Amino acid sequence: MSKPRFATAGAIKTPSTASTVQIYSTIRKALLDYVSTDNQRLAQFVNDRIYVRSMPNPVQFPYITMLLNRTSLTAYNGYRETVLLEVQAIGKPESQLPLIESAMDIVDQCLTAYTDARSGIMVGRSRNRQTVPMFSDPADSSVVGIIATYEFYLWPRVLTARAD
Amino acid sequence: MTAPLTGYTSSLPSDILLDSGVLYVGATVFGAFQGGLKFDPGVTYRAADFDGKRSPVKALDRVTMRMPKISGTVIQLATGNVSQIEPGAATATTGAWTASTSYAPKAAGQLLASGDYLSDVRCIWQRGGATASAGSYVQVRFPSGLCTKYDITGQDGAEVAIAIEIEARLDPTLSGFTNIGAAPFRIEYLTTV
Repeated sequence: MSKPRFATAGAIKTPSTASTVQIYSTIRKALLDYVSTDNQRLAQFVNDRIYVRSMPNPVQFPYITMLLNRTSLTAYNGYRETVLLEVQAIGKPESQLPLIESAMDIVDQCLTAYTDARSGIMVGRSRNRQTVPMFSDPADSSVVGIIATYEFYLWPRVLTARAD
Repeated sequence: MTAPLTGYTSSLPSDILLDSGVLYVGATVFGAFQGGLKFDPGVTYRAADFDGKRSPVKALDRVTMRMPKISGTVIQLATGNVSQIEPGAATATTGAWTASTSYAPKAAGQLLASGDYLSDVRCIWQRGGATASAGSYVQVRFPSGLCTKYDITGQDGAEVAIAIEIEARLDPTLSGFTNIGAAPFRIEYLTTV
């Protein structure tokens, strides 16, 4: 599969690990498609506001951002990655804290039991999660946030395609 | 530029086995395990000797013993688990040493009864992806098993660790296992657990 140079509509195919952009899109779609055990979807909390790195302007709360940190070691000649996926859920005003905590419960449930072998393979099993303490001046104390880091292991097509 | 040899093939994502595995006895989950389950086929080969032998020779090997074993560390002990790790243990309801539920291990010197063995012990691992030919799971299956070893270890600030070893036993009454040389286990691919 060719890699899209720009994230234009229709250019990104999921599920795919053929490029970093498509890995983000695959995870984002998995989060939006996931139905929790109590029959809830992330869209009920953040609509489709799941972004990479930062939110667009104007900001609409609550929203979720994702950042990938991917590491290959010499084992498997670098084809296997361990991935730290940082997910931030941000709300404002402070009354949105229960909302984003509930949203992150859905993210937890989805990503700590995540397996997708349809393009390469992505497996997520563990996480670290914390609620951000209240900001003080000059930051905005009405902003609430949760930061969670999910650990994946990954055999991405963007690397393993060379081995075919 | 030549890519390095790694053994990677396009079937790895579906053929890879994931996670620690789950132990079933029949259709019932044995419990939650700390760390992974381990299967050891415990096979012993004998290469026939003859005068003048200089190296092992093809087609002169035979299996002389199999001692298949599943081992792992479980972290829970339900009342139903006691008679599974102590084969033949019976609940005692009378006598001085009886708590609300008291299990008395089988007396030494007695042969185990057929019902003291575990039936259909299955160690199941999830595959990375399902395929039509191999399904979603792989299991090592003992039609009959016996917990031959366990210990219970308390740990500071952590779950109690109960290390168990279950050995396979040949049950010649079962179809496919009537030959005394038959291996007492199978490796199977499943679509559902």
